[in-house]
Amino acid sequence: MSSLKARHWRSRVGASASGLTAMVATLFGLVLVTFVIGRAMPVDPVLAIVGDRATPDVVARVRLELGLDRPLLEQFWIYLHHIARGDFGTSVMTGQSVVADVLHFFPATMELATLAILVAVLVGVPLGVLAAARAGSRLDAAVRVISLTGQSTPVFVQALLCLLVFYVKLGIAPGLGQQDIAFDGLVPSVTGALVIDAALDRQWDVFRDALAHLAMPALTLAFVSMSMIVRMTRTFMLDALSGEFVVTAHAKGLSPLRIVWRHAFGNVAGRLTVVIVLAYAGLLEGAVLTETVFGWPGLGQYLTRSLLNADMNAVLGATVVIGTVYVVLNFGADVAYRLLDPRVK
Amino acid sequence: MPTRREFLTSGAALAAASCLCPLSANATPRNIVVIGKAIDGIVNGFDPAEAYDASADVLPNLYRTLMIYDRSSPGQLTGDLAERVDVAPNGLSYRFTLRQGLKFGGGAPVTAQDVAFSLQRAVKMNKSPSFMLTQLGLNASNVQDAVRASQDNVVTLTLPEIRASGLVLATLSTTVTGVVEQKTVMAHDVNGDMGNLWLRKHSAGAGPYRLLDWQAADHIILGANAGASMQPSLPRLAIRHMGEPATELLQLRKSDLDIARTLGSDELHALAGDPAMNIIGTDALALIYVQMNKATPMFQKREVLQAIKWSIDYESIAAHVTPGLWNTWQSFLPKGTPGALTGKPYRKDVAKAKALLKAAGYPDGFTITFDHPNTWPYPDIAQAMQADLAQVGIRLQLLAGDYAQVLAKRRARQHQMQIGRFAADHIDSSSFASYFLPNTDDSDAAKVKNGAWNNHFVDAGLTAAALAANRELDTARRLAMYEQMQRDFWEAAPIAFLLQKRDVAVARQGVTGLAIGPIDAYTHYSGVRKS
Repeated sequence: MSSLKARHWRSRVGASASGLTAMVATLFGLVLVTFVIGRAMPVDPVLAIVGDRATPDVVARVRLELGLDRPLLEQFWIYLHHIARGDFGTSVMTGQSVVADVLHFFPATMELATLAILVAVLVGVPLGVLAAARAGSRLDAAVRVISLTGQSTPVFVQALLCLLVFYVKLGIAPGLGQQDIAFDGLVPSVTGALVIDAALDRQWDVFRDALAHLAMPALTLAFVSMSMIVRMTRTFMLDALSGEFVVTAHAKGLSPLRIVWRHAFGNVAGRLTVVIVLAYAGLLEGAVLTETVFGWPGLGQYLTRSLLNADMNAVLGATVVIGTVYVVLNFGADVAYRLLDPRVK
Repeated sequence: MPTRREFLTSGAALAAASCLCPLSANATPRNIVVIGKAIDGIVNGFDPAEAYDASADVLPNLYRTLMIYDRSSPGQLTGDLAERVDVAPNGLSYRFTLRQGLKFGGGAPVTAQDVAFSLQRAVKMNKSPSFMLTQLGLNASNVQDAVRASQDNVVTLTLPEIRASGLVLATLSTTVTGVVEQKTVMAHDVNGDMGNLWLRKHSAGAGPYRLLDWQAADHIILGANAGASMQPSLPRLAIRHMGEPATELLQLRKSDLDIARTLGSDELHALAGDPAMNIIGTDALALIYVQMNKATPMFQKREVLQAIKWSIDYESIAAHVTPGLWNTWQSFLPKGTPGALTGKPYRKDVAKAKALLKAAGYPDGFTITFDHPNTWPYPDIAQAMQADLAQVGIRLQLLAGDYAQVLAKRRARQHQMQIGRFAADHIDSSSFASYFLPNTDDSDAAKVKNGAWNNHFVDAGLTAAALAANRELDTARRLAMYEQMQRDFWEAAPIAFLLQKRDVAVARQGVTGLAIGPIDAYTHYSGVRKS
């Protein structure tokens, strides 16, 4: 028996190792494609830096400083060398290293995405389970309508509607940004997540202000993710609840609560974990529109602005970070699925 | 299980509670001025020797210059750090006597050595805005001797070649000549960068404010420059990035902003007559123009250039596309520049334009590409021009692109027809004339690649006149030269000026003291106060 178990674990570890190799290859492909797209863009990064009036010698010097006078392959090789050392270059827009920029902007995105996914899971999973357990009821219909609304309405429309209702009309929510300008600079950055930093520093006014600013964008994102999670949970649960093991459980006289949460939900937990992790990854890399509408100083906004300013070091750096997060989370989800579901080899 | 009635009751209670305990506390704090403005164009921060374009309205609040725009006499300059300016009769030597009691933040005195160091540093670093100083004949090898601190409070500038005093003094009012504290800056020197990296995100000036924080395309926070001889009315100033004029209007109305700087025509129209808002505006030294590349065979004919100038409905564009923000203007010197001609010789005349095209050998017109940036107001202007020119038979193929993309095409002289925008660096007429007129070398290897070069515009007469005006010491004769140049330019140039900008800010009632200059470098925030 133990030998069987060992073989089972070995096969899972082997699968995970091959997944790791695929992850490295994906990351290399991501860097290559992003680099080529960056160089193929019809925007001259030098002109974006020096402006319209710079003399030809200034233009030539900046081109030299950026290494743009070298062949493309050589530029890529140098870039690979640099990122292997953790050096993504300097952002021309902010004048500081891309790594420092990412460390500054990414925590704000994580703060937003983490709160959003927590709300989405805590609300979405029970709702999905409940809808499946009472399939065909009014509750089920309501859940399906809510889910459909969340998935079919673009997130920026929801964000704008939220602003219109809660900020403009009712005036109960604060405006754009991560905090009120009056509080800027009062809290030292420890984690980069303002709500946590304010709590650590016991600056409760700043904490309340930061939490108020965080609420609307996080709930908007949470609604979108929740719509997907609730729908997937319901579908998985309907499938599980029609299984023979559930009929058996009923025949054995188990309580409905135990059947739903222990037997059926336990059966779908692996698949649901993958959905949740991928939703989280999507929030980390796909909150650009929400960040833009709410003026949230996250990585999505940083990436967009860098792109518009032809700041290619920043674009490459941020894309690699986002890509890495996505690939790593994807890999994590894959591993978790293998561990949680014994049927998967 | 709650009943429906209980559910509705608790929902209503929740809504009422959220109204009673709002999360937001409207209105900005009394000791902070909050300004909304698009600041995503700022790259590389706030080192006066490097910063250019979008940062121009912040720098004059951090750094003081020898000369400054005189608000009491529009179109004139007066001394800022300089109490007295003596110009040698030969036009080569300038002697600036500094005011007494000038101090940097922290209380250190502003010395002639700091002024000399700042000018030398800007030339030696050779960053984007250094062309303003190098056009005076200064370069890395001669600037050390050309700019000297002859006494503790006297700076002398000895030019290697004659330049008109109007040009020299105007150059010394630009942001690139902002005076930095040498000791502080050199304490942050890294690998001989003369403190460049540090100054991008810090300041070391004698202006009323110092830079506290800058997050690119998000916000800029300035604080009172403690110890400096000039102090602001309010101790803190925040500039928040506004990407969308509609959002800016919303925030202004919700009292999240005190002043809005980048509202569009629609937003200004919406605010007209609102008693809670004050609209402040001034004519800015910025022009929108259309340029025709003379490498295109059709544009080598004077009649074609004239036909295009007679085809455009200037008034209609200003009235319907850019009302309140861009007014018609046809001269290369905008209103507010010494010597600017106010006349508007061109208007839409389809018959005349068609006759000119026929005389040029294009009775059926022709098709041409027209590049324009994809941001307002350029697409709307381009479409209006497309309709106007179609009436005379010229078919425009509109090519929208990112601003940098359009600029790159112009710098490579690959455009046929393109819309452009030009803003002055200083008040002197040469800022415009030097860009649009002289072209001494039209080859690809030219050292000067200006607006004339971009369009293969070579006119020996205008080139000589523009260069001569830069050397003319007699002010009256110089103004007469510029007037003649503007008339000749109308006739010969492949460039048609359409509009002049009106720089407009909207302040909430009770917010006063904003001083908008004709260029951003002459804009000051230190007098803003809230009642």
